[in-house]
Amino acid sequence: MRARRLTLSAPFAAALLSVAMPGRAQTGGPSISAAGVTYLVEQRMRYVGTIHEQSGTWFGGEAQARLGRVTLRVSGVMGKLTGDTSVTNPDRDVRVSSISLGIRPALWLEVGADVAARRVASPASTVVTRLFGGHVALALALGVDGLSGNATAVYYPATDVTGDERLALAAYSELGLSYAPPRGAIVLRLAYRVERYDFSGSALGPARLEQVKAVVAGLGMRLGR
Amino acid sequence: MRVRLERTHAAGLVLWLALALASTAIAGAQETVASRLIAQARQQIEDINPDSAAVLLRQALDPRVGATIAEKVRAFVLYGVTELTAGHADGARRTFREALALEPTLRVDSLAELHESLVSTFEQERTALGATARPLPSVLELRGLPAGARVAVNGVVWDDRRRQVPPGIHRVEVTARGYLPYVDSIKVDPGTTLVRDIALVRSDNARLSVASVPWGIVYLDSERIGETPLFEQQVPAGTYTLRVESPSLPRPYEQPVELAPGRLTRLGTVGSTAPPSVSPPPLARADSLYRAVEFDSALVLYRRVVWDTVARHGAALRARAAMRSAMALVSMAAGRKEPALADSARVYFGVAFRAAPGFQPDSGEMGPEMRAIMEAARARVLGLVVEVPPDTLLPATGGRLVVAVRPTHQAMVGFRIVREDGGTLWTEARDAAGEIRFEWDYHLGDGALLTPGRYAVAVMARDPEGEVSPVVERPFTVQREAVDTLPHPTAPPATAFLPESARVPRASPAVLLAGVALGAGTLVMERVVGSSALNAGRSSGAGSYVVAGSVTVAAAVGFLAGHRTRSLPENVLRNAQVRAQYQRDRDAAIAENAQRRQNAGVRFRFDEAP
Repeated sequence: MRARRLTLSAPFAAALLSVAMPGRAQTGGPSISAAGVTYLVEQRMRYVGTIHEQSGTWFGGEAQARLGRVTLRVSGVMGKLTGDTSVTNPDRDVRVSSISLGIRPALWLEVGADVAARRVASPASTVVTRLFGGHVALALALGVDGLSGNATAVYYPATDVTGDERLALAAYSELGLSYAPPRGAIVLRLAYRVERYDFSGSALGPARLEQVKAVVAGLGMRLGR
Repeated sequence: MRVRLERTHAAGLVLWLALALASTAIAGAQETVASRLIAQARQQIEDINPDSAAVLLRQALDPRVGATIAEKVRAFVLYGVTELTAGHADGARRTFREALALEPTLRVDSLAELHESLVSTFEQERTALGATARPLPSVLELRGLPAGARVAVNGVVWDDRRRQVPPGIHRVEVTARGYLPYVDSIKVDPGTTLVRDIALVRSDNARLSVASVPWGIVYLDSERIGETPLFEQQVPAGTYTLRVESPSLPRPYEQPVELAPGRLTRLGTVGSTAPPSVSPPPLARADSLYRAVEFDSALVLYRRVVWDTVARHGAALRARAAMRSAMALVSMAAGRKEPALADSARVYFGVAFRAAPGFQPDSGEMGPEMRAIMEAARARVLGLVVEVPPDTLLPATGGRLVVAVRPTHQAMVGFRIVREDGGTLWTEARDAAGEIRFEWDYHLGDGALLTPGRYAVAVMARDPEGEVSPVVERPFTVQREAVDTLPHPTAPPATAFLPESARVPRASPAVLLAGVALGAGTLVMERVVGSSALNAGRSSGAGSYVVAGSVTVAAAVGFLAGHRTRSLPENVLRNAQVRAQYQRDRDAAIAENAQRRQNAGVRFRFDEAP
């Protein structure tokens, strides 16, 4: 089964790499950009055999500085997840902040380290999760200067949880596009993001699974190339 | 075709009327209608739209537009370019003939980038018409010079480093503080720009020339630097105590010297114990005293000239002063009956003949006794007459530098060629009673040709009685003959190269594939990354469809609106050939110039005899 998956995905990978030309914003000199972002979020959580769903809108900002092959990013978003107001599915306030440092071995490829902190507060409890991991990102030029398709995968092998059981798995993936007109300072971003957090079970309770899906839209300004 | 031309004329008329009205409206505008049309046509040619350019040019040439002669010439040339682009070589030649009829000396080199065969076709037409081109200027540019360098070309000082010069050979002289002088001759061909890199040689050392009688060992602050005569020897600049030691000197000669960088310090012949004189006395005054039989007073003045090593009088002057001193002493010896004065007279006669072996005294003033003493002294003195060639140009190989030496009587004559640092390049000794000729092929022991620079011939002799002649030193300069060197070919201009890639509409189809892949990835991401326990039986969220669709549509737009670059291997190959040809031409010129310089003649220029 795995071999078949690989066989099917190989042509796609080849196609991606064949157009893996850098977007214009990736090829120039030092640049700095900042953007406001909006997350349209749906969260799904399974606990003791029941699946709870919540939704909400998060707002925040991202900033990025690029010097040569090195890129530093910081971001922070916050918002509310609204459930069905029951005791088992209360509303939650969420704050997520992250920082990542990436390096580009090729103009279309970036690898790097990520640190994130996630705080989820409800009337019953407050869970703070600190995540340490790395990422791989691709940037594929889509024919027009400044237009590129982006794919990012982040995996956090090391986690630290306060207020809940430890995390057995934490990762997220994001696909989308960005557009930075060569003669302008505007940066547009649209992406679809899936986050996954699997909390381990313990003597006090069973395992809990969380999944966050979000449409991410961003609009910002950029200085430099 | 006729219909098309009529339509074109009709369109041209309408456009011309519009332009005429516009030009009337824009009163005071300096740009004429014709020049604007020509400029637009030029732009169309550069955008590879020859048809549009041709229409504009026909309008510019319409008599109603009133183009000037210069504008017509330009329009004809550009029209010829459109014809060449369209493959109509005959049409191009016709328009070039029109242009040449208006401007017979016209050149189109500056427009060469518009079409690869523009210049050649134009020149063929010129040749067919028998017209002559306006000549390109000859330009000489000198590079690589240090700041503050003084450049003189044909004796004219240049403030800049690049100028138009008349075709021909130009003598270039460059001097700069801290560098050896540079002299070369450079040929600039008609219509060419010659760029010459000049590397000056640094000169941080001082130079020292010193002689002594007899030969001695020279020390600077106890460091031995050679034996006399030293001729323009390179030594580190500084302040030293110079010492000359010789077994024949009663004590070493010492004096402080200050050697300035890049400067030559001449100390003359050192070791004399005679009292120095501050300034040379007027010989006329001494002669006057001599004629007044005031021999004592005359002798004082004559002796100053003889022994004054500071003023360095010429040999003839010293010889004459010594001769008069001797004559005064003989006269005083006769009058006072003091034989010792006659012995002193012999010494002075000897000094006179050593200073100038060929000196002929005015024997009319001498009595028989005086003449006998003089002849006896002359017979004892060993003098040397050295005859060097005049300014001589000899071939690089097969030539002989000939120096004739004539001792006053039989002696062993030693002949040396010494270089600036004091080293001996060539030496020979021969026993001779009359004139002997030393011949040197000016090649060193390893067969290398003598390099340009300063050298000297040093000759001395010793007779069987042990009488040693003064050292006769004749400095000379060696230069290589200025040769006509080939100019380096100018690098191909940008117009000589063809574009190596072409930009074609539509991005690579892989862009579409990438968009589809990203879109599909967005749709399946939830199932791949998400938890199956949470997603079982549920479809992907609506947001994923929005993003997937957006990515796919963006890729489609990018594909349609984008461009891709296509390599043109035939142009790459042709450009490589152009570069290789330029390199071959340049290497050939360098090799030819090296050969010419190697075969250049050697010029020997001896300094004036002291």
